[in-house]
Amino acid sequence: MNKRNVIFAVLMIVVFASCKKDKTDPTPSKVDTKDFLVNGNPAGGNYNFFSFENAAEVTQVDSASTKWDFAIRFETFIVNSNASGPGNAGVQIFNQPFDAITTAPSTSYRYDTTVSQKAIKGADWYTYNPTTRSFSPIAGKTFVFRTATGKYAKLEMISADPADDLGNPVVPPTRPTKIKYKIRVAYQGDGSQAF
Amino acid sequence: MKKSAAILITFLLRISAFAQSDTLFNRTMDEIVITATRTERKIGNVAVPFNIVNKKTIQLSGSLRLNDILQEQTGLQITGGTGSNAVGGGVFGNGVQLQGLSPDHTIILLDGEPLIGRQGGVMDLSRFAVGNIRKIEIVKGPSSSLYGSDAMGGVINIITEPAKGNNFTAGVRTGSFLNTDIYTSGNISQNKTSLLYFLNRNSSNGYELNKSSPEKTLEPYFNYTGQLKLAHQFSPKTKLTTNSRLFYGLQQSRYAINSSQLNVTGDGSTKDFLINPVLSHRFNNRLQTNLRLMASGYSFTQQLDSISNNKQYYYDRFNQGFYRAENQTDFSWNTNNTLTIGGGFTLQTVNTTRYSKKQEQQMWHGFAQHEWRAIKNVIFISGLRYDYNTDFASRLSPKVAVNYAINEKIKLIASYGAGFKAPDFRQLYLNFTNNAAEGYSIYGSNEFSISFLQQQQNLGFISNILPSANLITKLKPEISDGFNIGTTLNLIASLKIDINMFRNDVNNLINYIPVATNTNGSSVFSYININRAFTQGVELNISYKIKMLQISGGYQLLSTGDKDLLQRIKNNEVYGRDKINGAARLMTKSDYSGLLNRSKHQANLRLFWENNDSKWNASLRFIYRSRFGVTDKDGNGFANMEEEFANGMLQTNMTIGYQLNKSFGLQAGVNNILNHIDSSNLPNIPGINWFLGIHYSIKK
Repeated sequence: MNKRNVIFAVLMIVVFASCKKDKTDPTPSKVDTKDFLVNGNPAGGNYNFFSFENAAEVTQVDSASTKWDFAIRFETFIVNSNASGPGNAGVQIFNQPFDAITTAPSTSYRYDTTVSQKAIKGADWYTYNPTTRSFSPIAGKTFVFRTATGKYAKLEMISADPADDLGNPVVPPTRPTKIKYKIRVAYQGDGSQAF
Repeated sequence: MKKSAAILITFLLRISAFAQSDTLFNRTMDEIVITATRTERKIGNVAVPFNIVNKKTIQLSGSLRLNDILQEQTGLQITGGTGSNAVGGGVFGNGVQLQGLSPDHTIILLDGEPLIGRQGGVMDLSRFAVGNIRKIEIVKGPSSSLYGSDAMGGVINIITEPAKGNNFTAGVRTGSFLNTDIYTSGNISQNKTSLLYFLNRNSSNGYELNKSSPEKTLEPYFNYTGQLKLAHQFSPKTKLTTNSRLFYGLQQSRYAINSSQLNVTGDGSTKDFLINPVLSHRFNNRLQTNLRLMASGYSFTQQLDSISNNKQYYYDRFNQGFYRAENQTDFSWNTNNTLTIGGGFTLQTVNTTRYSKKQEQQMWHGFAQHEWRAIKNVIFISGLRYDYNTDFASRLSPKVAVNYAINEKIKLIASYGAGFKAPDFRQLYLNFTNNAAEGYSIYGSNEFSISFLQQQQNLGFISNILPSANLITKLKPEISDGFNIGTTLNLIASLKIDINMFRNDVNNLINYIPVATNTNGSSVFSYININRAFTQGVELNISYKIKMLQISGGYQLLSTGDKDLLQRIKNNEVYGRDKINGAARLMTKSDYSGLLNRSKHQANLRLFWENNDSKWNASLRFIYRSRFGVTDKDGNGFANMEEEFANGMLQTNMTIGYQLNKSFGLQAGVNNILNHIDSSNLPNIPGINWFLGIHYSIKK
């Protein structure tokens, strides 16, 4: 193969690759960083519900609908499908940074199969220190969701701080009534799997 | 009589020692150190790195508690805490790190016997007054071959004044935060019997470093320390010394819980006692033996009540007992060989609100050490100790060391030692479910079994048992291998330089792992020997004397790490953030900052001065530690972003003293002159503060 052929081949690949990209990625996903204040009682009480579409909390009233995708109480996640809701949501966690996840997979999403068998377990995404009673989301873990309505979204936990009702941080021995999560989310609204 | 009444009313520090010849200004190779070999040895013959803090240094520094004086020593770092006003007591008390190993890896002895009363592995040093201390010996590197458990980073031996002679001292001092200290001590000797007493009361109104919080950083406290030592010389060859100690301390606890006003209040009380008879007999110049008995107890109780309805909000109780009988026999069959053999039995009991029942440990130990002067300037020391017990795996700890004096001016020392730390009580016996807060449960390894988890699962408390549950077995001690190599240079008489390099490899570190998931999503934890770590560094000490000015400088360069975490970083498995809201990126070895709470650089410069007729004295001390990691916000196990570090800290302390006459002396001081404070990371260091004291002493 001579040099000219190589250059031509490379050029064709570049052109082809860029054309393909233009066709399949018409709208980039919407990225937001949000504070999400949730009930800090591990034993009971309400979950707080979140919708990727609006990148915002959803009221309790809509808890039986597909308007929400996941919900948290203390550090317990539920996702809107099967045992936890009427939607079609599912989740999987990758050991890759948020930006490195460019495509949502088609399969292998997990569900809350029963009330006690949840899709996401605490040990999957944070380290807990019983002495200081703090938990730290592990950097480089990315949650990829299929939403309640079958769209795709990704999420990373930035911080999870024990807080009071107003969202101000508290330290032991004060018991937190809320956990203040800072999350980064990306939502692909056009139904494609690319972020 | 009037005079003695006046003596009692006028309180004071012990000036006799100020005036006496003291080793601060004249350290020689003939000075004795006992901790390195458990036998009295001239410091020139010791083969392991050590420091001695003598009475004069303690007095000129104006120190009151053990943490005050230890924090100024090279290579020692005090972990910050404010005593029993933290919930759970001294969990965050003033502990000490040695060679970068955490407070639970350093054994603290009082006259050669281990002190008890650790909370969360930390011995709160502020429990110990220093007014009755003759000197503190700090031996660095693993010494489990002589002292057994906890002697991994080294040994701190507090040696109190001997019962001897006739004298009386008293002192009073007060200062910022109404921190008031009163003490008196004395010796009475008649014929063959001597009695020593020491009484101390220390109190403070506490201080506030963070004005926005309704709680004080250090809540008000008071405590009493009493010591009684009785020595009787039965014959020139036989002596009985009985040392005893009593401590009682009470500290307020007040909290504003979910409120801007204080709404929960109570107190934490700490008690300890010990009685330690030692019978020693010298058969001849070659053979002597000691029988040592020890009974000690420690208890901590904390109760908090809600202010509005007086209902109990929190209650915690911890009781520990420690009883030991030990014999040590030293036999020198010629001038070049000394054999030390010993053995003993220990019974330890512990009970708390968080255990299922009162727990008991029985331990047996035996040790031997051979000291051999091979040729005139070379000494070899080898030792071995075996610790057997009922509740966790047994342990054999060897040690070898060599001391080579090249000439009068240059000495080399090198040593290898093994260290271990027995699993602590919570790791064995904890049986705790946090119903109020996170809902998690923790079980000590001896309280844990798969069948118990299965039972919990059948009852519907546990949703699934993780595979890791099968890894929980009988715990092994945490173990270490330590290497030290150093030199002492006395090139000119007034200048002494010590350099020591160290490396400690720690294995079987105990940590908790999740073993099951509760139905509410929280975890069940138990303990396992899992982590490996290292600490290494160089320590440098220089002391120089010009006339009546003693200048000493120290520096420690320290590097530490979690070996498994470093391996995971190498495997590109660990991410972190540069800023709290930043993107996660792969961490490299250069991002790794070592174990939390370790400063890479630590330095001190200390000047002590006394004028020719000992009328005036003064000290000026600078103590520096560089920044250190305090928390892990991005879950990768180490500090890497700015918010995860505490800033470096320079403390500047000074004192000035004046001797009014033969009996009365005054001392004034200012600590933390530059007013460096860090309320969240170093709550134990108050802002700028002063004191003024008067002391009296008389000697027959």
